[in-house]
Amino acid sequence: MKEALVAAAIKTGLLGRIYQSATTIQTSTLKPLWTFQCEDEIRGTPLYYDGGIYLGSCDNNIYSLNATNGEFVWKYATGGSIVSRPAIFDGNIFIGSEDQSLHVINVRTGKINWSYLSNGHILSSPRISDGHVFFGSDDNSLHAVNVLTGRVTWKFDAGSPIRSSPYIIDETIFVGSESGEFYAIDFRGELKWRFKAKLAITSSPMVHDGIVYFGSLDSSFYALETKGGWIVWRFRMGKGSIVSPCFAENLIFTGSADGLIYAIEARTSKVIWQFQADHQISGSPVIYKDSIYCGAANGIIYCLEYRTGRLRWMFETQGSITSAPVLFDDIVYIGSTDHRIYALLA
Amino acid sequence: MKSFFKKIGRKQKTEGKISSSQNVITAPLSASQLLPTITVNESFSPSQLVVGSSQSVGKHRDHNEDSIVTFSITIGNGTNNQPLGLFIVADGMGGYQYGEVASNVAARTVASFLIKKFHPVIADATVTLDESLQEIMKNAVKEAQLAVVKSAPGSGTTLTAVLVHGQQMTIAHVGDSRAYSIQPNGKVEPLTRDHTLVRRLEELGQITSDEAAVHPQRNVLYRALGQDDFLEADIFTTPFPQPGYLFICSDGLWGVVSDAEISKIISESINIQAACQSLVAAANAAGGPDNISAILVNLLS
Repeated sequence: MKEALVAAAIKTGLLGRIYQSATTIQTSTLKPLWTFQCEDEIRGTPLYYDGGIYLGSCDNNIYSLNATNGEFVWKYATGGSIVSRPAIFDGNIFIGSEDQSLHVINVRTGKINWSYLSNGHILSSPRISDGHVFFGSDDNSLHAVNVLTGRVTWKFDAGSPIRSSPYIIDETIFVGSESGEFYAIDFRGELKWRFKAKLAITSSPMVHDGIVYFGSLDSSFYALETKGGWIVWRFRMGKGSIVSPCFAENLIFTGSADGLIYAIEARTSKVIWQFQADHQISGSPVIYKDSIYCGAANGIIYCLEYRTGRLRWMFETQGSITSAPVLFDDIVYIGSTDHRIYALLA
Repeated sequence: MKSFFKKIGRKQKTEGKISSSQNVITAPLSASQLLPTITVNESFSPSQLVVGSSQSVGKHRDHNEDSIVTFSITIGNGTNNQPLGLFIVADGMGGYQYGEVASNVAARTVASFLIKKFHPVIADATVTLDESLQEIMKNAVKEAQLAVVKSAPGSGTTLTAVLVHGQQMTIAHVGDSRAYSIQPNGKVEPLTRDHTLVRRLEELGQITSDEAAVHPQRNVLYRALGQDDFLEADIFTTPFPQPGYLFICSDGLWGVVSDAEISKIISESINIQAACQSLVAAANAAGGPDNISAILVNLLS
């Protein structure tokens, strides 16, 4: 009876923080503001835009929800699982699906505007810059599609599937591939330089101050100089990583299948702190105010102080977390493979 | 009316200067006034490093225990070429000329180790290095430590080695020679921290920077290459000051020439080499108590 009441309270978001018992750590003192249940796993990161949450699911749909109360607004059905993060541009949501297409949907109505067909599943998240949408596909190419015409401007052959999401800065596109190759490509689709890790680079890179950072399944985390591709430093973790790093105040944050969340000094590769979670770190971290939020394969999202690594709270979902949370206005939105998206107080 | 003619008369008395008002000098324009018109919005192909260096034994020493090395390579063939540069200042200490040997051996060992590592990359553009740059610098310093201990036992040296690659610099540093980032707006920012006892006291809040400047033991190092207990150098990577200069010098220069003067001399000099000569001259003019070494680098890209 009690469980049923608590479950109902979770669904309607009526209960605030409940203190259940002294023996459990912060896990059970946190109750979500709201949750929304899809018909299958949520593996991708949601997008927050203008009061709405846009979320893809393995049930083939992209959902538009009200960010304040989780109310359903619209959904659009594609032909395959959606595991990537949507992008927003000019009133349209761009999202790739395992049905091999990139779908461009009106953000208010949920109606399709146009779509673009690649030759493979799309697991990489689209990024928009300079009038083009860039994304990788399992057809071994990085596609550059004009957002006005919907036509492909160029395709870059990476030789193996691209599941990492491209990072664009200074007219250069940085992206990794499943065979361990890492590419820096210019806006004409020409290769600037390449680098090879021993195993897949599924992690999405990020650039700060002329250095590009990313992890690989070969257990290393790399810092490469963006102009020539020199390895500035290489940090060895216990196991492989698919985590996409984030940056704050001279620190790079990442995680690995060894269960650790690392805070690494960006200029020297020294570990400032590391946090041992109970399972592989499969989600990607995000920084918001003084904290870092990161999910793990045991379904727990951890909130730590980013300067010290001290645990502030943790919340357990019923599946695994393979995505990054998104934060807005002191609320953290996180999806889990238990089919639900949770809105928690940050 | 009378005062109007007086003003004209006053103007004609100023010699050699063509000026429209008393405060603006338009001929000759100083190097710093000309600088913006030369460098703004201009890009250089290929990207290249411009280097100047200067040394002096100073006014109180009879031989020079400082060593410097500069090395840069530019390869231009129309595609994405980034210059490579290596700039080292080492300040030796120890009796019986061992200071000279220590600094020379340290600088040469680091230089030759790095040149050997980069040799295959220079020979073939498709070759990439397996090791990270920070790892290479760490190993270069290790080799230098062994070499100094072997050839000049009981002596020591500072070492500030800057590897410039593309638009980044990887710096290996031990001691109290310094690397600075000098910006056109006059900002002089030290990139390295001194491994001196007084600097450590300052960091811990035990003394102020004014007290540190006149402290009787301000030259005592707690970390130097060649010492038995030497563990590691500070190694870090940071963007090349753009626009601006990389400036490396021994304490014979920064100890007697203020940051403001360093910035002024660089902005008023006609070119990089002249700036180095003037900086060394300024250190000598201020008494020249120690050996003086300076390296100034600009990246044109």
